[in-house]
Amino acid sequence: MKPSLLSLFLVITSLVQGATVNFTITLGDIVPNFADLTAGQVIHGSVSYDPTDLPLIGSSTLTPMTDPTMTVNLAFAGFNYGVLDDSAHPSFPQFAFLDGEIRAISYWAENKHPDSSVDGFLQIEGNPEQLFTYSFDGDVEYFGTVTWPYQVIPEPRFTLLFATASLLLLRRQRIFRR
Amino acid sequence: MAPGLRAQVEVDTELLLLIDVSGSIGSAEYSRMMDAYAGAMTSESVLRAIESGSMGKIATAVAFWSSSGRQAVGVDWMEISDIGSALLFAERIRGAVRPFLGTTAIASALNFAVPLFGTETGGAENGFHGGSQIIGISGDGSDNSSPPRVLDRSVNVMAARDRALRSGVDMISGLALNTTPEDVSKYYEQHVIGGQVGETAAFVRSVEDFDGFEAALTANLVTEISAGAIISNNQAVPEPSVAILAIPAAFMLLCRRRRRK
Repeated sequence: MKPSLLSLFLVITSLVQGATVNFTITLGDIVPNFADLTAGQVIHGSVSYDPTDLPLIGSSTLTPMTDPTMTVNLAFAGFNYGVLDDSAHPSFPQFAFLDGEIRAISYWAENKHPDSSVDGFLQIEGNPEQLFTYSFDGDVEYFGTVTWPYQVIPEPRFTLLFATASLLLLRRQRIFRR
Repeated sequence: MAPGLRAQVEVDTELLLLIDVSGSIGSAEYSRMMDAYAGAMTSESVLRAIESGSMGKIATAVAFWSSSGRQAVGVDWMEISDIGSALLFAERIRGAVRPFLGTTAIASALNFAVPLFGTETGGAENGFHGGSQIIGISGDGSDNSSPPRVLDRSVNVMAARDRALRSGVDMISGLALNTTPEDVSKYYEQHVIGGQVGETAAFVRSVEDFDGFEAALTANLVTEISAGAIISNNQAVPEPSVAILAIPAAFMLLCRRRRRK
């Protein structure tokens, strides 16, 4: 592959891949005595989205309707939860951004565990303080804290700049060679 | 009085106690809370606050709340004027069966509470007429289920709070239980409480565990009831304009009598 084509490929890939943000949920001191959950258990999850149209300054919100590439990846009590599991899809989940950085998500899904009744759920809510709440019967709530390390991989705008700079550099090198 | 209408009992304050019984409140904690409400209402400091009003009596009711569709009156409106009536309240709240568990819908709870005050807030007659209408809400979490579902449900809570205040509720004060990972106190301060009664502005008192619940609740009740009592006492003082009119009238009358003599 030619270097110029490689740069173009990098640009397109970065825009298609979007940004991925990992988050951590730490379960509280009280957990139900089933589903193999333990107090203080750490659960990892991630969300991804297309940051192309996000404003660099100010607040904005993405939903599956405005960003069909949006994903949620959360493994809880042996089951995986994604965007389509949100009860209000495609209006939800919603990702809130401030100055281009994700600050909050609103996610609500039915608890898939076989020990859960139809009212069982899990949700990430609260703004700006994000809280993980889950229930197996819809009555007794359990909590976990959500932390966002803001590890956006890769920085799309940085990639865009890097690719543009590479293109310019290549063009310059070609001119010099001539 | 038209048939079917209940006589209104005049009280200094109508105080509605909104108690969070969502699933994060365990059954042992629920019992401790009911004991705390019973103990606080029968405490000497609360009884003194009640007696300090011009009428020396308040009306109070208890409503339980959790998810958006789950609210219930636990103790119906009743008059409290002395230790006897306070003990009756204590008996009723200790005997109140927990109606449900559930999630946390503060906005829905406030919406449910407003018409319970009766004609003062556009609801059905509740048998009492008070100078002030106060909501004392206790809870251990932020709203996570009041409809409509939005990214930030605190918007729903603030809208419900503002509606309540517009409808005639004078003050919403809070007792925050900081027993979950959240800063509930801050949440209540920013989104739940509002209004004022006289010089007393809405406030939040917080506790870190159930050990301090009764003391904090007692302090809340004293502040709320005293605020209502001050308003009631101010209203009971003769209007100054009446006095101003009475003095020249008396003077003129005296002058007239002297002339006749």
